[in-house]
Amino acid sequence: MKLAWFQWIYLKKNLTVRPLFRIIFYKKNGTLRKIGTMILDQEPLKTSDLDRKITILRKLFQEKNQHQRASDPPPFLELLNPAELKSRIKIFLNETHSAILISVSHDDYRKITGGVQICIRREEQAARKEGFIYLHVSPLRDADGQNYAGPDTIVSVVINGSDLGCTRLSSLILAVRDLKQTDIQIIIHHLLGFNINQLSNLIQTTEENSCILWLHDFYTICPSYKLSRNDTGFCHAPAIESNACQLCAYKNERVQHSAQVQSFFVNHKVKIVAPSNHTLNFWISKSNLKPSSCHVISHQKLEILPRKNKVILSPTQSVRVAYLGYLIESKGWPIFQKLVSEFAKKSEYKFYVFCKNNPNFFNVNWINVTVTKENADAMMNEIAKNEIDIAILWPNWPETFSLTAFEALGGSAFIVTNSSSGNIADIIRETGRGVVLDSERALVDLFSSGAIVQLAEKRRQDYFENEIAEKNSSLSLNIIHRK
Amino acid sequence: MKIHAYTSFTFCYLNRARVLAKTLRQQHPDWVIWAVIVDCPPAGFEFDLSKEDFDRVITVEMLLGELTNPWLFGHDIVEACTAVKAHALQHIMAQPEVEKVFYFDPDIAVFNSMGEVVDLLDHYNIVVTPHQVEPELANENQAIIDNEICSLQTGIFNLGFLAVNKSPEAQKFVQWWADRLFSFCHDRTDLGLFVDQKWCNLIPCFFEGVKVLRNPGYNVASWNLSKRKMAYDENGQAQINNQPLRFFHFTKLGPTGDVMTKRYARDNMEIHELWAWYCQEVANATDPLIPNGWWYYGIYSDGSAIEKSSRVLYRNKNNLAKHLPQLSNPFNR
Repeated sequence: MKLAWFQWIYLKKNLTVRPLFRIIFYKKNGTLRKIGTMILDQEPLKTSDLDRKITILRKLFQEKNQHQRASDPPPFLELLNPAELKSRIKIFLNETHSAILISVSHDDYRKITGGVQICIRREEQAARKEGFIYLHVSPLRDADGQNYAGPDTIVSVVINGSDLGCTRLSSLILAVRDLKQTDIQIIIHHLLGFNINQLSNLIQTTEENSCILWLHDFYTICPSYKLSRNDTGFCHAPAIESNACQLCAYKNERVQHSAQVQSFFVNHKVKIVAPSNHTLNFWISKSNLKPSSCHVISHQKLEILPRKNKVILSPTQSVRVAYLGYLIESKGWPIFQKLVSEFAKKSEYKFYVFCKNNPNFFNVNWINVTVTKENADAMMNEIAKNEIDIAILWPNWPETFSLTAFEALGGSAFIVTNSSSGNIADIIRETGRGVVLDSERALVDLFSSGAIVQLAEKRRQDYFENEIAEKNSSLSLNIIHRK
Repeated sequence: MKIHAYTSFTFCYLNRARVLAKTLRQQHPDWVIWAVIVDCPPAGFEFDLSKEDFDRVITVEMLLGELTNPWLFGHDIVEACTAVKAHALQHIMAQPEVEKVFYFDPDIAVFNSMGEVVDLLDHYNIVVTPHQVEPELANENQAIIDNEICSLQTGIFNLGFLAVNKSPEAQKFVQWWADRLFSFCHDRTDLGLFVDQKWCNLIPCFFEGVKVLRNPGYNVASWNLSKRKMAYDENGQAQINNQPLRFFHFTKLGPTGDVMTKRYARDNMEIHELWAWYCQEVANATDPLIPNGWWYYGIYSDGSAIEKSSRVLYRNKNNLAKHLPQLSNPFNR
């Protein structure tokens, strides 16, 4: 901070911000307003940031220790009974379409845009192409994102991409049983929001008492599915008895959850599917669960082809550095902010943020990107259009797949990431398109030493010579076949 | 081998003492844990040992008999709770099966085995932990005042922790400590006294076989956080400067503790997580039947608070009670 005298005006003795200046400089969420960024020399006030983090931490512990009362479903909610469900499903069944894939996940993949949802959407298309009926089940939540009261989960059912209606999971189980179809297979993309014991009854409707279970994250190990201890940083999934777990706000939930998951694996043949080798290896080393088989199915594959029409990018152009996606800590937003604060004044660098909402951060060029079903390649196309050299992907947990990394590479950018980023680091090691660093210090050094300029030059040379083609996988359909 | 541990508290600190007992029990299920209670329960509340992690109870009446009321009247809550530590230690050491005894303040939580100290007591009579084991930097005046000067004022060793074996030398120490604390366990830093703690500056001078435990994993607290960094290893064990965290002293839970922790832990989030955990554990262990700030001996029978000046006057004129028998129960009960 250059204006040391100014500190006397806006800071109290204990180094927290005086209330008046808090209103002027900060937003409600604790980030600096534009005027704050300018006046305070773009340096976030660490004490204030610490206060915010401590408040969030204590709130987390309180929440996890309070009994949350689930709300009753609204009276107007029409819940289909087993017979109604059965008759609606039967409309879709015929001689050529007699096999049913029941897909289970935590939300309606048609309404939310995220890696898992995109993956389910692709899987639905692949399944229908192979003649399956694709029946998707997700828990219905109230306005606060909580399940409705009662042990019998209320679910939303979607068939071949269209609404079938809402029902109790027990009704769905009865309807499926009553269909007496022999070819019913179950794919679980996520267990979140389900009563795992009740889901067991659904698995029992299959002939082989089996299911596929995807490891899109580590929910099978802990309800803190990114394995973030107290939502502060990656915990490496230590034993429940360890200090780290005992001192975590998720501990009580984990104890209960682990017992349920354990019995789920004991009672059914569970085929594990991981989107990357890193994820599978980590999961095997950290969970005591015994699957019937393990598979790695990448959501996408990259093909590097020699470029037919050579394009030369301007060598004098500033290095274009981008942040992609949600502005959240677990994806590395604070680190990117730090880089911008430190290096945006240098003419060699130009910083971009590609996301849906304006980050309102000084010295950043915001590119409004919304990935939709109709425009699934929006991110990749914008990266290519804006000639981004480097994407900073700095998650604080090992990403199981990282669609964002594939979007960055698909847009011909190189990636800078940390060694704990899971599949992102693996992709870079495999393709050579970027660097894997050990620490935040090394990231800052990359910019201050100018090594990032050389990396950008390498990517421009590569762009001149090669182009990237992406190939989507058919996901679970790689290991599921009609009987 | 039987190891006993104890803590001393009033009912308003029962929540903290419960956290101590629970965490100590997790590490050492075979230890005998004592609650030394310098209080009487509030109406409606019953201290039911069968529902607690404590095994045994000592009340101040058991230690002081008919002297309880006049003696307690001469002490404020901190003085009283610290003064009984030596008498309670004598009481516990007198149990035939006891071989080693540990004292922990009620606002401590234990996170890893104390086995290393148990072993040390095979070779040493007394184990103590200093407030600080590393000097502050020369230009860190705030830290020097908060930590080093404070230790010079209130005692080199933190008496939130003490471990002794049952050797004659250890018993000699306990007898000396108990004698001093009976008459001079006062918060009078102007006279060079600070309750039970300042006396213990003399331990290494007076007694043989004293171990000054300098391992940073013991007695971690705001007064040494400037030199201690917490992290977790890959197995999830809490580490302080790369040594396992044995116990943390959550001194001054509340705004003061928050300010001091922020000042010295800074962005060491693991410490802030630990505090968040502790605040919640204490909240979970709090009994709503115990009023805030409850201390039976803190008030006269009419409910009015006893001024510290009245206590000082009473203890300074210690022959008052002899000449005026009605003052043998100064609480007017």
